[in-house]
Amino acid sequence: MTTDSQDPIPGLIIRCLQGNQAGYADLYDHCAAGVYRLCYSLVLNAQDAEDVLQDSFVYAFKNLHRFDPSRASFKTWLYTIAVSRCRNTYRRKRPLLIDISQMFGFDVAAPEGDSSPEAANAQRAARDAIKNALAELSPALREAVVLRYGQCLTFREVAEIMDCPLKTAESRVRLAHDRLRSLLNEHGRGLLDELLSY
Amino acid sequence: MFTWIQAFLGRRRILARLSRFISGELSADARREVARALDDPVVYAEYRRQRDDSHALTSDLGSVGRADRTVFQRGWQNVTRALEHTSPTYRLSVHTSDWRVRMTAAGLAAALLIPMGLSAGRASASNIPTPPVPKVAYYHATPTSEIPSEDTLGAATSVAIITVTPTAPSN
Repeated sequence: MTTDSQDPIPGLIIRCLQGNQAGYADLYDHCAAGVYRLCYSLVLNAQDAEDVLQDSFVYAFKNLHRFDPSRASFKTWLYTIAVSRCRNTYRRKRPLLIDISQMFGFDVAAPEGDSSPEAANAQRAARDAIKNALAELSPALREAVVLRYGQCLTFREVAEIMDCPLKTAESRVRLAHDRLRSLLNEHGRGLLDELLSY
Repeated sequence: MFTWIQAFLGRRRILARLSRFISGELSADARREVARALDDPVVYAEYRRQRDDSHALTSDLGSVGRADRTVFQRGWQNVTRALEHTSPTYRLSVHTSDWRVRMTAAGLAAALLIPMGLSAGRASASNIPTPPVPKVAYYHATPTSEIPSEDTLGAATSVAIITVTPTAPSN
């Protein structure tokens, strides 16, 4: 996460701490989509992801005065809270449950824009394949690869969120990467090569 | 032999840095070192593989878990509701404003706690040993009668009171 002078988060946090209710709504609007995607990729269930999303924001807003920008960015802090709650969820719910709506093809994903139906179907199939592959990864490897590639965080940020050394984060990402590749090849989908054609 | 080992270790170091090279997280010096090593066919093949994989994973994982607006609106409503109903400090409270429920709860608590308190007091009182009560022996003696010996009095009583009735003077 690079420091961006246009980043609205510091200003939003100041508004929240001054007691501005609209500041909380704006902060939620700014971060909710990312937190939900992170939670969904980790717990792989829409209802659980929604619960974790709400729980994370309630905790973050109640403890906003404790957030220290000199230690970590707000996004890293918020993602640490969300990852911790996701861990509690999948500890409670072993084995990992796949969303039932996904089994019946009711996907909550946004429309694919102007792509053709064939391309949309192929993309959905690819997404389902990668969700199944993610479900087969260990929680630590899944967290590493989702934070790195799903959220485009740096290795340093991945290490901060996972509370591990930088080298460990790097090796987890690499292991997850290799494991995903082998899982996808195992299923005969050749997903990574297929995705490159889009 | 030594050169071969050196080349092998150097390549390993470069390969370990490739992922951070692709994401632009290396220092300028380290970045230059990796860039020079890209002429090596093995390193370049690995670089291309990692770059393509990371692009594919970024695009695909980025599309997992996209939700529509209703999910976020519902989430926001629940967040605001949760924030309104909780105080910043944890405290034990009865979450109802109905005074009848509160009175019933207080009555039940009293019905349970008062007998428990009473029986606890009784049990503790019964456990205290009672001190021995001194026995008092009254002995009425006349000048002509014999006073009982100390042994007899001591064995029977702790305190002995002896009263003596004087006889009338004789002429």
